Amino acid sequence: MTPGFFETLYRQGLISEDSFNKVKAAHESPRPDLSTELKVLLYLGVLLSTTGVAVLVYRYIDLLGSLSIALVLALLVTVIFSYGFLKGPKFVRGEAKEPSTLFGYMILAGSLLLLILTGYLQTEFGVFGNRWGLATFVPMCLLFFLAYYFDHKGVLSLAITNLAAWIGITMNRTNWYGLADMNNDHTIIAGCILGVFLIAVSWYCRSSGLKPHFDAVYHQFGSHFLFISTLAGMVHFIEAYLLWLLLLAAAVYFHVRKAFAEGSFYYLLIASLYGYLGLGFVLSVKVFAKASDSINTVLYINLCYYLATGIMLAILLIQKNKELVQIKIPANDRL
Amino acid sequence: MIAYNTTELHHLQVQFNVIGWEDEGLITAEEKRSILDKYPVKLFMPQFFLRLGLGILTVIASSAAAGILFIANDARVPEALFIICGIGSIAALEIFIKKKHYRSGVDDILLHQGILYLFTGTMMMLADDVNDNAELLVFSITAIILYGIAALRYLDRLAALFFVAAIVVFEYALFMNTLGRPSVPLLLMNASIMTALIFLCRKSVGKHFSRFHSDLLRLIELAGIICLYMSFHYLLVAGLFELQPITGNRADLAPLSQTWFYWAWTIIFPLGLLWYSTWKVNRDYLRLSVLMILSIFYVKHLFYPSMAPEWAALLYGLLLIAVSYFVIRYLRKDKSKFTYEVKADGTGMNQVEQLAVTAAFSGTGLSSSEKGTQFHGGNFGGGGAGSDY
Repeated sequence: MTPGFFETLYRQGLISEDSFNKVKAAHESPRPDLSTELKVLLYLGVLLSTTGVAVLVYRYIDLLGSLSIALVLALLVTVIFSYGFLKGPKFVRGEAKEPSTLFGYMILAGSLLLLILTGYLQTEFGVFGNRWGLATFVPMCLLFFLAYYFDHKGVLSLAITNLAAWIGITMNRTNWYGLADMNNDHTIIAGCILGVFLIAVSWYCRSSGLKPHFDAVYHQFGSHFLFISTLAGMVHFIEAYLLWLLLLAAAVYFHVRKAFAEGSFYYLLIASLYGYLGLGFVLSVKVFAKASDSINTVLYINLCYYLATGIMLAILLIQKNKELVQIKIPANDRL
Repeated sequence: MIAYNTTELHHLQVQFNVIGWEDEGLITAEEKRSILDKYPVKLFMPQFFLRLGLGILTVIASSAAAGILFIANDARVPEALFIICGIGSIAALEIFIKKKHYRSGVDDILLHQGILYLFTGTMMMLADDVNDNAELLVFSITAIILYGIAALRYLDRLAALFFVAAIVVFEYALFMNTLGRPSVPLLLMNASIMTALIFLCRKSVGKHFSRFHSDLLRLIELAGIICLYMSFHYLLVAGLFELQPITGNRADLAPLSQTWFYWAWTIIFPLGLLWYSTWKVNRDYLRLSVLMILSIFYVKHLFYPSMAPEWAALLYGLLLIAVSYFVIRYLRKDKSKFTYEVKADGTGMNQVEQLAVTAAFSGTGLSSSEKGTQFHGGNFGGGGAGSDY
């Protein structure tokens, strides 16, 4: 936009003289906001330093001794959380205000150091003996407490990741779907139950008023756990695929209802895509594959199905988006 | 030249600016409403998630259509079929543009899939006729033409970036075809071309003829700056020359001369850019210069590791936190040309924080029930060390 255009708007009577002067001044001497850039740098700093500490404690065991490393880690964690408890906001049921920009990153660093310390104590001193579940359960409880006390969504995500690990699910970013070992009976069933549980917690968060803004975090994890597990269940338990398809259909129905209740297109999209994937799998494997002995015919049927349904689903999503836009929901309640 | 309706694009630019002005408190909500009514936009520009969904479904549908075409023809002349699919995709793109689609996910995918099909068809036609180096040359020329047209006609930002990348590949292929190996003139040529590109973009931005391409020109300018920096960057030069055997014998490596110059360039260029960005209050240049400065530490550690990687991670991490903290404090004093204003609605990092934390720290977390998961393995649920201990 050129300064001449501001004048056009002013002459057309679309903006007042005061606004015209403000826009002109902002154009002539802009003051860009660097908050996003600085937050990224802070995040990178926390990531690098905690990773460095995590490797150092294992590398210098022989040189420094187990006890001294554990003491240093414990001291760091104590200092960080003492500061947090003293200077941070008091616990409130709703959303707390951060005292400073650095505060949230300090709590995140402290939580990561706490995890490193717990892991180190188990490695070197075996504080939990052979009860590996307990070694995941204790830091998980601590993380949930810290997330709620300091009102930190990042720490809450760590806590949920630990909860998943505790019940036997490995979150793994090397897969496109983010979960490892999805060809295992236990992982699939556990993922499914965890998904339902997290969605229930999300509902409880909102209805009880206890950190209602955490509901989106719980729901995101829960939705993806549930959908991925049902899809994996359909493939893995192929004899009982109908049962898993029903479960998937129920999850899709629930999410579509939620999308319309809250005016959230995000939930409509994930429900549609996961549902489309599941239905496509069942039709391809159980229906189209048996339609003919000729591979070319089966391929034709599959391709025609995906061509037609791809277009139809796109049109449906566009129409539903128009309907969702009409639903007036407060901005904070939307994802 | 532009496929989209230019009146609509003009109105869109107005709306984009006006919404920004209202966010910054420069104009009132009523003024914004009256301007938006005066400059209506009828383009179909869906929100991010719908765009994503439509993009995924377009990939599925158009791939299925291509598959049907291939099976119907028994894939007898694949190169011709790819060309037909490419033309078909572009034709479909034009139809969707007529239906007012603009960055809807459908047009984005159709454009890039169309280019990909045309590419594949062209390269398959030439595969048997030319050697590898000539093939790379043809590949880069085709890419320059296709992505250049895509950027000009469809205002596609990704195409603009691929256009710059194709120029670099073209230069490399040219040298490989003539001298058989890269040499210093290649670096000089790249630096000259990128400098020319940067100046051309800077001169064109703000002109009437380029009013709808200004975003693209800025993007090409930034890509040009990165390529200019990389022209004499020590990491690239060392990789390009020292690893190129002259006689085919791995022991007989070309010695890299003038290393002081490459190091000086690697260090001074980002600092110069940082100074320039603060002087001219250019946020994009500032971002680039910070990224380049961060890369200096990495390259220094790669070639001259003065400490163990874990110490480097810890110290550089603490340094980053300290620098960021002091910059925030400085900006909050309100004396700078830049500001630090956290939006009340939690924009930026806040919204993606849980995803970022999960992405960064979950990869090393293994479940407690997983076979072989021992703490001596160093993988601790959800917040693992990120090490292989």
